Amino acid sequence: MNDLQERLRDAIAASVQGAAPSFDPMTAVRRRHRQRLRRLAVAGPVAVIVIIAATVFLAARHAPPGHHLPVTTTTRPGRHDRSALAFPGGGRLLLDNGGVLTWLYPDGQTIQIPGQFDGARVSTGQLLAWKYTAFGTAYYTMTLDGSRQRLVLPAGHDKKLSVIGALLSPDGSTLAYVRQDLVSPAVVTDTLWVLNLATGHRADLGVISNLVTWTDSTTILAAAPDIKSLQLISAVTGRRTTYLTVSDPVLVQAYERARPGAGPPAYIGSDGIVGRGRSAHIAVWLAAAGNSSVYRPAEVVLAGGAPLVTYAPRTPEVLSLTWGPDGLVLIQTGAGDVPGSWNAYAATLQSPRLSRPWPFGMAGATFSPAGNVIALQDDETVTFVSTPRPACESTVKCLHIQPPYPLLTGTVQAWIR
Amino acid sequence: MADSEDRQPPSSEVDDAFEQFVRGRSMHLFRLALVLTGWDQAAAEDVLQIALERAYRRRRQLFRHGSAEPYVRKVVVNAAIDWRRVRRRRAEHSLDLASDLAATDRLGQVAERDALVRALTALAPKQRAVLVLRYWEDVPDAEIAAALNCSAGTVRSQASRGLARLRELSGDSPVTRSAYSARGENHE
Repeated sequence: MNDLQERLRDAIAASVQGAAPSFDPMTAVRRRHRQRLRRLAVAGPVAVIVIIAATVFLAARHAPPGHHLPVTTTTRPGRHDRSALAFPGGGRLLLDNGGVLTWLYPDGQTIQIPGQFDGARVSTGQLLAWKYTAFGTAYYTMTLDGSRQRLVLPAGHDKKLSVIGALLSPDGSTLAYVRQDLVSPAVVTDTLWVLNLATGHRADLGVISNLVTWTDSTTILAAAPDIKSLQLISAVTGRRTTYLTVSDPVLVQAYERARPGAGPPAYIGSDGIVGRGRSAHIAVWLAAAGNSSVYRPAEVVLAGGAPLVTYAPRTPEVLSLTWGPDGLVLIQTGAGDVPGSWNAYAATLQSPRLSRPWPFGMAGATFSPAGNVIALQDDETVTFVSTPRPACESTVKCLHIQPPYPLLTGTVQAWIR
Repeated sequence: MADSEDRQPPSSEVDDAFEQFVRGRSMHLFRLALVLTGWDQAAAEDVLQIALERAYRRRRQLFRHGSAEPYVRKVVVNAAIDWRRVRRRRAEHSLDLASDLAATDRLGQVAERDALVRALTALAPKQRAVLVLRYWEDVPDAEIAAALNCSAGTVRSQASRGLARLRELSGDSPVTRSAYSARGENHE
């Protein structure tokens, strides 16, 4: 530990010396817990009333001419009433609220997943959910409604390792995950592992820097430990094949055109692949080497190995691409936690042109199944915005959601039809 | 689950373990919340209550394998970061520096400490959390990464950037600000 670190430790210790909460923590916890239970007790019947009202309202809207339900007196038939919808964009949302996973439908109907989980993703028609424990993260598979829960990857028993980023293979047979081993206080190694869900057999596939995605049910795309290449790794044999290198002339040219004066890219990553075979598109993240780490990142989308479009927005400290349907993408960039620096832009694969930015989405973004609405996640709040023109023109219908944008509390885990 | 590890200890044992934990660790967790919220007593108390109440709800799971501290620390850190972000976004208060610190410094003689603490207050919430957990709490990078939902590499780069920024803000040395950092990892 160097001098500054020691002085920082002393300064913090001195600054909190003698500080104590002004309440008895145990009493406060019990009181807060009772208050929560009371709120839930009130919220339950209210939610039922809201759901019934919404259901009746929607039934009335879709009733054949001449058939009217009593509740239609509160609304004008045929007129869109946004307040009656839990969220715009259709489909169903999987939300996490304080460890409770719930499917939410536009009419307010909900289906709660049994048990407590801290997150989930939808994969090949099932849920991969996880919960944080005192010893790390435990992963479970289950059906979309939460039945047939199975603990597939228990949390460790050693604080010197943790598991992150588990992904189910497209056929649902294998789980890929990154095991982080604490070698020393300053050294952590990330190792790719696969777990056969039928046999329980685990295999160490070697050190990587980042697990990207499964490209098929036996192959994983990952960034090499030196962040200089993307590799295809066989989940069966562990054999590695270089997929793209940062010095690939096609990438160098695309990057230098997008970031004039930045020099050649020094690091490579990926925000995933959509499509298969010749129609596949891969988002390649590139960045130059700066004084301390990386700088001026750009996203190059390749189609059939050739650059299709390059996005290089400003405030480039963090840059990511989220895939939407029908060639839609969301580009997000910002300067870490600096307020006001975070921007989300909608775009298409047809043009590097970005929409006007939204200052939301620091914790992620999800497209609606049709692509015409985007859920932008910040902390525990979801902001819904409509995909703007011209990007939305590739979807079935452009919507126009004006500020103030609809909000939900919770964390979006998935948005499906 | 049929797994034997999932057998629940009796509820009275769990309650006792939870109470012992709260009695033993609340003070320290409160101080952690205090640092992370920028020495805001009310916010730190709120953050502590949020964390402990969440832990209380999950006490059966948390105490099955031992200490609940990593989980509660994670909630404290994230609740404090959320609180800071909301506060910044709403622009209710200036967060430039902890202006009251000098007044509350009882000895009035630790200008350097004061400068460091002020500088720490001015850092971005996540960066501050990394420095506090790494250098004050001695939490391993992997555990910090798990608490902040990022990679250990991001923790290291944030720590490096945070220290550089701290030097700059506290006037420790004329270090050029490192403007860019490694890319953040996708959250789970």
